[in-house]
Amino acid sequence: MNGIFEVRWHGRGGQGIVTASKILAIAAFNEGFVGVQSIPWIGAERRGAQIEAYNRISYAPILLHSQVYAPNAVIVVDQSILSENSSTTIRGLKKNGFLVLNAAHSNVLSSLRVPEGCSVYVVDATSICLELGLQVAGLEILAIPMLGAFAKATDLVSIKSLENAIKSFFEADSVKKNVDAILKAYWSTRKVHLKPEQYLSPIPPSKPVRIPEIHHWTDLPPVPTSTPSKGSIGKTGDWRTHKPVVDREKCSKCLFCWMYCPEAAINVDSDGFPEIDYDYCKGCGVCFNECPREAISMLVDEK
Amino acid sequence: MSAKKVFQEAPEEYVLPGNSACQGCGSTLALRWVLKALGKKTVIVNPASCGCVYVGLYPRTAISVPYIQVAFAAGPAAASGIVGGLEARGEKDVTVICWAGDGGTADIGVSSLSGSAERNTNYIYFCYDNEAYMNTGTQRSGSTPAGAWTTTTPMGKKEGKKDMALIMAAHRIPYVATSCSSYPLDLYDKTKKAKIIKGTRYIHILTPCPPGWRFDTELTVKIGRLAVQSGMWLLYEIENGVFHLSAPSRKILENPEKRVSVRDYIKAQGRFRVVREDEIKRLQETIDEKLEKVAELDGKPLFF
Ligand SMILES: Cc1ncc(C[n+]2csc(CCOP(=O)(O)OP(=O)(O)O)c2C)c(N)n1
Ligand code: SF4
Ligand code: SF4
Ligand code: SF4
Ligand SMILES: [Mg+2]
Repeated sequence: MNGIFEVRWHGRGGQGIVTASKILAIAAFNEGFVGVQSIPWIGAERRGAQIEAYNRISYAPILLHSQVYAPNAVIVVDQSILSENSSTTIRGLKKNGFLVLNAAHSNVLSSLRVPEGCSVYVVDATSICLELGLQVAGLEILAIPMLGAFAKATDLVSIKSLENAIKSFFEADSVKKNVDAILKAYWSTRKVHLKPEQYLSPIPPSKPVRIPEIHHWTDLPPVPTSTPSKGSIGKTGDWRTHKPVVDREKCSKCLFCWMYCPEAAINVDSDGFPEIDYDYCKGCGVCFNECPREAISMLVDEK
Repeated sequence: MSAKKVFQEAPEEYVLPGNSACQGCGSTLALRWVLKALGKKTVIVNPASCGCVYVGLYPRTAISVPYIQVAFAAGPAAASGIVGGLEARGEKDVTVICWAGDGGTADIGVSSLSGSAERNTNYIYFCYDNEAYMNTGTQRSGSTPAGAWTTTTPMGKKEGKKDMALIMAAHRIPYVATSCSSYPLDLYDKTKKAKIIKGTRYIHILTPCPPGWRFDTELTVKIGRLAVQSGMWLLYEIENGVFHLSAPSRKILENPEKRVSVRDYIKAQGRFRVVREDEIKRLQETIDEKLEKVAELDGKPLFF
């Protein structure tokens, strides 16, 4: 390997990509690479939101400290991210690079476009986590098996180094589970064969942008403005595990629930009863806790 | 005023549902009530903070009034510019507000805030206080209380909380008030009052934050209420220099049986788990003393 090998992880908050990227850096160091980095993406990390993490691996110390823009490998831990927007996910992937995916659906794979010479590897990390019970707070730690898949795809770190890194990272009682997940993934990762038309031809250099002359502020382009909308980040009802349900028999229409809802997800109907907007109610439970009549119950949400 | 009555008065929502705030966010609850009180002719200036995240990403926003995001330290400076622009255009019925976090207020924005208050710039500054830098994952701020765990105070913060409301009152601005997201009607009334006053007005709102304070999302309102009922957080107004306790805080002074122990407030939150019993006892004594002094001050001018 020449120069710096750069990795970009894609996942959602809670799936362990920041931890896995740290483990990969330690493992690469164990393997003899002198320059290693693990970088979390400093964004507004919230459970369920898309996040990224990065690694750099090199035989020499690394002086570059930016985010990774042109990765040699992209690891996609959450299946839905690739189907949502595959071109953003693999943006900047270098030719002859690696794309390592968690159980991508066949229609996603067949519509994939990758730079010349790239190889695509797939592993069913979700099933591995479920089988081994590799979960924290109800979420599968998908990024751990992806380490095994990465090792198989790139041959950059050995299972032994990953195992040692895991040992230095986790309490003794959870080491085995994590190592098993890596091993299982290593042996079940397979290479996907793409059709010739799925390889992108080299991108021609872009034309220089002409900057308009500005003499007066009215020559400036319009400022982009956002439009106010409900669901500015989508249907947040999906975040809910429990659902508030109002019992109209008990309700006195005091509207405390409406007043205290942090989400403004409670409307008032023409009879004066509170009406919960399940498209956006996040299920925080504040209304349930504040109702003086105990007229609201939180029921398990079977969506 | 009751919830029902205020529903008739201000049914319109300006913080739209489906935003990216955490479940049970006290800050969005507070902004919801501030905007209900101010109405649609309001311009919000929001320096870097959770606020900048929960409004959503281009091309959509959860806030249905004009809103601008500015650099962390620049809230009051940008607001001053907008106030000047509106004045130049002769627009008199627009309220300009700054909506800033406690880090943006007590630490990095304090110099431009102080400057705007010195000039008595015609705007309302709201500090929503979740007592740490929450947007970047809970680092301590000048407004983090003693004893609280943050990622930068793993053994609990040693220093006490900076008293921003009193610092602002010392600028002799016409209106200073404190409130809490668990008392929406108190916040609504104070904001309405501030709206018709001219000059710099400052409202400091305690807004509990489930992930940063480590409690269950359903307890957001309850935790804020415990803060007030224990005397850890006082609700008051300073109008033209005269100090007035607000009803919820006066209640615990007049009816000591309505008071909750500091211990109840501390124990309800994971962030205080490193606080020792003897420290809680000392804190209780400090609060008892503070409440005695405050009772004497009620209705009196604060400064000479
Ligand atoms: C100059 C500068 N330093 C650091 C940051 C990163 N940053 C963005 S929001 C934030 C925390 C803000 O804390 P606070 O004002 O208390 O608001 P909260 O996030 O708690 O709502 C930080 C450190 C920044 N945007 N600008
Ligand atoms: S708080 Fe309870 S009683 Fe009051 S309106 Fe809501 S559901 Fe009805
Ligand atoms: S659970 Fe939370 S978000 Fe849902 S309606 Fe109740 S208070 Fe609003
Ligand atoms: S971190 Fe706290 S203040 Fe920020 S959005 Fe979440 S609950 Fe609100
Ligand atoms: Mg804060």
